[in-house]
Amino acid sequence: MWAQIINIVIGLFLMFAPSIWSFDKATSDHHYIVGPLIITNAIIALWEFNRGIRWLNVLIGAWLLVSPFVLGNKGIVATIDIASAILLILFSLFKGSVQHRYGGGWSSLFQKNPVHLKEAAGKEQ
Amino acid sequence: MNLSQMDKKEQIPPAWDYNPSSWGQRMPLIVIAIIGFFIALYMGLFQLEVLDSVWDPFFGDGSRKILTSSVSEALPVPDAILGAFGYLVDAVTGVIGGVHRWKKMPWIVVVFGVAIGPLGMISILLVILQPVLIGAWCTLCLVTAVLSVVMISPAVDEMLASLQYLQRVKRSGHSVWKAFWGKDNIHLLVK
Repeated sequence: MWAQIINIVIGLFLMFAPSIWSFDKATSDHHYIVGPLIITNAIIALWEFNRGIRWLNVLIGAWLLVSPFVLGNKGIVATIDIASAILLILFSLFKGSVQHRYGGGWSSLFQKNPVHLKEAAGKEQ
Repeated sequence: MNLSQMDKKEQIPPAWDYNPSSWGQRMPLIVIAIIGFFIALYMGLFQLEVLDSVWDPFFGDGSRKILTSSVSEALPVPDAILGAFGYLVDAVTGVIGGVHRWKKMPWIVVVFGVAIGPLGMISILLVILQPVLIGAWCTLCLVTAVLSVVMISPAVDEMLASLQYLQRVKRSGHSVWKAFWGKDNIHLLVK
């Protein structure tokens, strides 16, 4: 959970960066798109059974990591994006503890013999 | 185990350790939806020109710029009024049904989850469009966006429990359609 909170802070930082370092319009827009998406994913992934959403932030992190080379950004923008990307990927890889049980989670819906079906069958005896 | 304890255990879906349809789980969502409804209604009343000004402690003229922008007025109805309607649907579908609703009324649980998902998506889209297209920020718009995103996960856990129940109904050979609408007391036959 703390890893997702750090990711929320990274997203907020990316959203504030254009105002702090007065980026140009295109670079600002890039940050105004990426920042809210990171925050949204991190908030959804705060809950244990939706922790899997953190993988979307790994994807966004991967884009952010290569974005200076694709978009031709240099200097402070490239430094901010690459540093944020590395931290975002790192903290998105942390699953954190899962304490509750959710009948096998979302993947159970695609399993042949999910844990909720087994336990329901057990109760009927 | 006494009767009330047995009843409590009966409410918890198999292989779960809490009941996602309990009032303790649903009440915070209903409260957030009602708060969101009033904030959106306030902004909508400004858009309908019932109110002369709109409150914004951080971005000055930002809220007014955004709420009167072409994006906000792209539809026949102001976007905040649609938002208010969305929150109202969230609150009403959050209230309907008892603590067994994940298996007695899967349809309402699914409507609840589906109503909250898109509302969150649209909020985020608007948060992105504000600075990119209009070049402004709006405090209350950001607040409602955060509210709708925070609602997503705690609302869809109930939907997961309902979908797992329907999966068990399908395996048992009963009608998933009837179970979805809570007919024929299938919930008494399938755990």
